[in-house]
Amino acid sequence: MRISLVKCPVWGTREPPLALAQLSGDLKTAGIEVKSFDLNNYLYKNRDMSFTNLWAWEQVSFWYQKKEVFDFFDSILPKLESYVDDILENDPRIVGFSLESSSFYSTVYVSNLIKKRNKDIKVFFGGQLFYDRRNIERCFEESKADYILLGEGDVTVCELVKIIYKDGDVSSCDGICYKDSNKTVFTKPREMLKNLDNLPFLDFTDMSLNDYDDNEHLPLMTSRGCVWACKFCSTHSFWHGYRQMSAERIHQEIAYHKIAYPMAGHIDFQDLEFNADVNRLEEFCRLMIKYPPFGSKQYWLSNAIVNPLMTKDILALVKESGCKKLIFGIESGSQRVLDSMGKKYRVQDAKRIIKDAYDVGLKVTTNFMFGFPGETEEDFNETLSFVKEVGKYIERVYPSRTYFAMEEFSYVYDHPEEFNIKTPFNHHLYWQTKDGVNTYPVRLKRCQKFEEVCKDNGVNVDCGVKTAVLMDEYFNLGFYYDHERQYDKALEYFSKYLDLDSQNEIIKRRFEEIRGMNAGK
Amino acid sequence: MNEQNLVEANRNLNFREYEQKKVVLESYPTSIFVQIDAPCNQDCLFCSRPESYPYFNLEEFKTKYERKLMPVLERVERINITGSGELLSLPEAKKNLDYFNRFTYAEKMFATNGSTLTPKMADHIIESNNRYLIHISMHSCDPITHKIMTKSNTYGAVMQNVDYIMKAKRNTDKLRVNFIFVATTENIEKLPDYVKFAAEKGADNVVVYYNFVYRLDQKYLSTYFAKDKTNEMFDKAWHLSKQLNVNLQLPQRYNQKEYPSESMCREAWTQLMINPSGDIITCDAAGDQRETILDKETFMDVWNGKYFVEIRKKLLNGNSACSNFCIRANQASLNKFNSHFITRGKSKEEIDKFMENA
Repeated sequence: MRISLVKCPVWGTREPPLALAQLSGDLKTAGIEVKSFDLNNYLYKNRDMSFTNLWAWEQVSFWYQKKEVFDFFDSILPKLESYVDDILENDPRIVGFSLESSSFYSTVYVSNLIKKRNKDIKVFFGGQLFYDRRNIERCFEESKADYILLGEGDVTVCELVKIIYKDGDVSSCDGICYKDSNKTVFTKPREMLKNLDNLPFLDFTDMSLNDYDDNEHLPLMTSRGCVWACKFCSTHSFWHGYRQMSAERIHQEIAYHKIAYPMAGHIDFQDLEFNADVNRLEEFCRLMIKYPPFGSKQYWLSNAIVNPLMTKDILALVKESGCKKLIFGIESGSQRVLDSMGKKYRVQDAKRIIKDAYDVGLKVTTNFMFGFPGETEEDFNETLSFVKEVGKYIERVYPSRTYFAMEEFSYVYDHPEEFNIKTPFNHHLYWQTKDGVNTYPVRLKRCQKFEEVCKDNGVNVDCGVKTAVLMDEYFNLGFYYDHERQYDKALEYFSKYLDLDSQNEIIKRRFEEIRGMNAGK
Repeated sequence: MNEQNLVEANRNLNFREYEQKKVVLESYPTSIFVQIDAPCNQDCLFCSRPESYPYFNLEEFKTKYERKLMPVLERVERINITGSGELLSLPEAKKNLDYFNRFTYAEKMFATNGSTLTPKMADHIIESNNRYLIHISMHSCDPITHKIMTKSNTYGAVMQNVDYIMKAKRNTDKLRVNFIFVATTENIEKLPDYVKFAAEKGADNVVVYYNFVYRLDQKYLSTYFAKDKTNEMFDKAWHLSKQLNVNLQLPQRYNQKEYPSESMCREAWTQLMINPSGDIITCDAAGDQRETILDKETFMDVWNGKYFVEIRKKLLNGNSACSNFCIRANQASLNKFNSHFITRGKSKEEIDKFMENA
């Protein structure tokens, strides 16, 4: 039994994609031969100057546009064809794609290439976006996918492969849907895994850490879901509830990977939060202290929630166990906004934890959002006061470069009326409130003000990940005004962008199109 | 009868039945080999590991086999839990060990390449207070040969783990650790150094095996093609082991004038191997024919079924394949290349083709 797994752009390039690593582990455990292909990273590594910024998350909207993605892929077709050769080299009977909304069109394109090459190959898609049935229909319309995996794929993928190799009657496979005489057939929903300790270890065999931006961090995921249900986040829609591995299991997996990747000095826990269960955290820290993997201290970092049970003693233990950094999604300094977001913590708890962490020598980074629907200038000023007060204890502050992006399937996204958001909205970045008070430029201004205050107060504020802030600003404002049909302003910002980066194919193309439209008036 | 008495009674009965050359037995095997397949972080030159295979699943083992195997598990002296890959690299490794630790009277035995035998795992094993025999397969003690043999960068991890467990074992009399050396043309010259290393670390035994050839590309790894060098290294290692007071278990040398007389292999009387699909065979070198426990009502239906009875008869009559081509059953057969080549799972055409090429 042989299968290839593929990840298409756009996705992170800092470390190997966890979905592929987990599914690969699942399949190997079931005795199925699997090969993983990270096309996303391959294209990123081999991109040319005209598309140099496409993988910056600030410019993610490019990948949501079918025409842009298809044009881009047409332009690099020989490269893609050769990659497809590699995918098909081992003669897999099945090719599976792990995708999100941002990789939908690229996946459609590549999967169609595969089907064109060999129509007998079975293709399946899996990912959180299929939580929404509209995406299922869209997928069957746009692509030639044979099956879509719904929910957790760990067990489903193994069962599906075995069935395809046996007799092909997939109707008995829980957790999938497929087309049968133009009708979409849904099989019985797959039960979620009860015990994450039983998950196989991640398998990075086909994705060498050295091929990624950061080869010193090994990514791990030790839980699924979140104990909270913040209204801006879509996680809760897909991962119902919260499940976690035991501390023992995590420690064992670290030891296992450290054998293969001794150079990976850091573990990057990609859990939404690593400290939901403080008892587990404590046990994990004690294990890391008593049994440092292969005798040397293992450093780690993770996302964390403002959990009031994080006492100074616990934070000290966390530090002693090798934790370098905790990343908190503070998001706002206003209790009113936090409550409205569904964040279950008090502002004073956040301040206390940040200070305590600093005292025990832990680095803390914090994320902030601007313009959550309902946030007033007064609320925003409270965020500024927050950062003025505790900024000195924060190693780095990350203002969200999308300010407040509307996440598909989040509570806010599904309840625009409740948040006074103008409908129908058709852009996750450029949405606005009905009263016109909260718009993209307003959110941008708040972010800029926030940066200014941070700098004035000596707070280390991050100024962008892969591209210059100014370029992002011009890029996104150009498209914002384009979206709002204020073409003169759009041209103004595209022009400013091109002054800084004249090679950007996407901006160049749009700039010429608008200029042509204006000339034709 | 308590558990210990059950084990002893079975051992005595099993011994008598073997001596009496019985082919249908009342006794149960004295050891059971549960094949625990797992991922592997090495890719040893001589390994038989297939490209893909399902990993051990305790729940499945319990559901499918536990009831039928319970009479055996209640009577065995040793439970060998080894298979393809590293059993300690399974996420459920501790749970698996704990399951077999329930049978406290039996010595647990497993093989590992050492990299996954972390201090935490070593402590877990020692704290279980069970008797353990661990085979650490390193095949060399220098980083370069280790890398060649295992095609991995695990040397550092292995050495750290070995240091830890060898120190920890000084505080317990329930743990024995053997250092394993699979002799091939790539590492045979390193055997004396390995003996020295084992002496320094305090290994209970150094156990040397000849490698088996599973695939054509492994042919020239066989020491069959370096007989004189192998004999020479065995001699050197032997003298060194005497000087350093290390227990060294060597197989027979090539081209000896005499070999111990052929004896009836005990394994068909004393041992059974069960693999994850429920197939039962006598030993890891056998297996062209096998019997499955899945469609049998009780263990005895397998143990005294056609496969085991036939193999015992053949061993008694001296006309089994083992008598001709198994180094363990007939040590003189080591001078025939067929004895170094495992035919398990291969078609007749494949075997013929292989022997032609060989």
